[in-house]
Amino acid sequence: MVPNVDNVVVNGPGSLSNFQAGVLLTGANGFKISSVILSNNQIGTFMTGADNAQVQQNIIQGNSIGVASHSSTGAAIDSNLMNGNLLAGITFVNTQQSNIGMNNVVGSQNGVFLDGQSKQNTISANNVLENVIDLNNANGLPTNINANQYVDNSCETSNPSGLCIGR
Amino acid sequence: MNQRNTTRAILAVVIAAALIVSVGSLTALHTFPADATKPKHNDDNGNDNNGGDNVVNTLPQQPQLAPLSMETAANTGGSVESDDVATLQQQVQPQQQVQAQQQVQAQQQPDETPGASTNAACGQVVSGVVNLTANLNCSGGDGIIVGGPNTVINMN
Repeated sequence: MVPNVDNVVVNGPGSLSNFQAGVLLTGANGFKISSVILSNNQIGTFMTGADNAQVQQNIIQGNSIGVASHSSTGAAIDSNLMNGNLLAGITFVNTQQSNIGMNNVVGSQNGVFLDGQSKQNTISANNVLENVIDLNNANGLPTNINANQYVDNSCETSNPSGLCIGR
Repeated sequence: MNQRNTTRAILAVVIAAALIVSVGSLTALHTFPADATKPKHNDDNGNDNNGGDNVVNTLPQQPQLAPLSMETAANTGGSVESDDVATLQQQVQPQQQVQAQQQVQAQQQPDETPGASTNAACGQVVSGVVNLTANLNCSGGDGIIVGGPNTVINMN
């Protein structure tokens, strides 16, 4: 739990399992977690009101949601392996100016989900496969409405369609 | 001649008287210290306090006895305070309090200093550099709570 403290770093290797939230960020700025296994939690990493958080090079599996970001800005979720997170690999709610890049997201209802209030985010170079919906932009909202960019993502299904490379 | 004899006799008498007086004063000086100490002991042994020396003797005895009573009261956890001891508290307690505070601060500083390398327990508020050396099983409760900025947690 990281409540309202800045520049906290969690370095792996290690694992966080069976919590409501493996990592809970509330109002924290500049948090970074890397090389950690987040498994069998309700939410692997839950950030709310957090700025400039970095979630990099972690294994996130068997959670209900892998990474959830609410009312946050500047998050960077890069190079993570996500497998079997039941509801979603990554969800953004009212989250702006954040990046999701180079992640593998497999085996969820929604691989990556952004709600209608999440704007100016970039989702690039991810492998999002074998999910019910791989990329979900506000349940089909055109990406020019909330100004999110989907670039070079390897996936099979998206809502709206056309967010996967070559499709 | 008679006048010279009389003057010589008078001078001799005067000189003799002076000698007697001086010798007497010397003997008196030698005897005063011994006599001066005797009345003090006698007065301390129950005589009435009429002289100034008794007041001087009793005043030092009060500060010598009062701190002892304060120390015993402090050790037993009591809070005995009186007006007679109040001034002594101001003299004795600041030194004891400063020493006690320094000891407490010296004991607390290693735990609060950022950068200390320690393990953590479930629900513990940590700051600085925390190196986890063992697994934590926090069933149904909080894990580690970060309490300060720039905290680094190195997992096991």
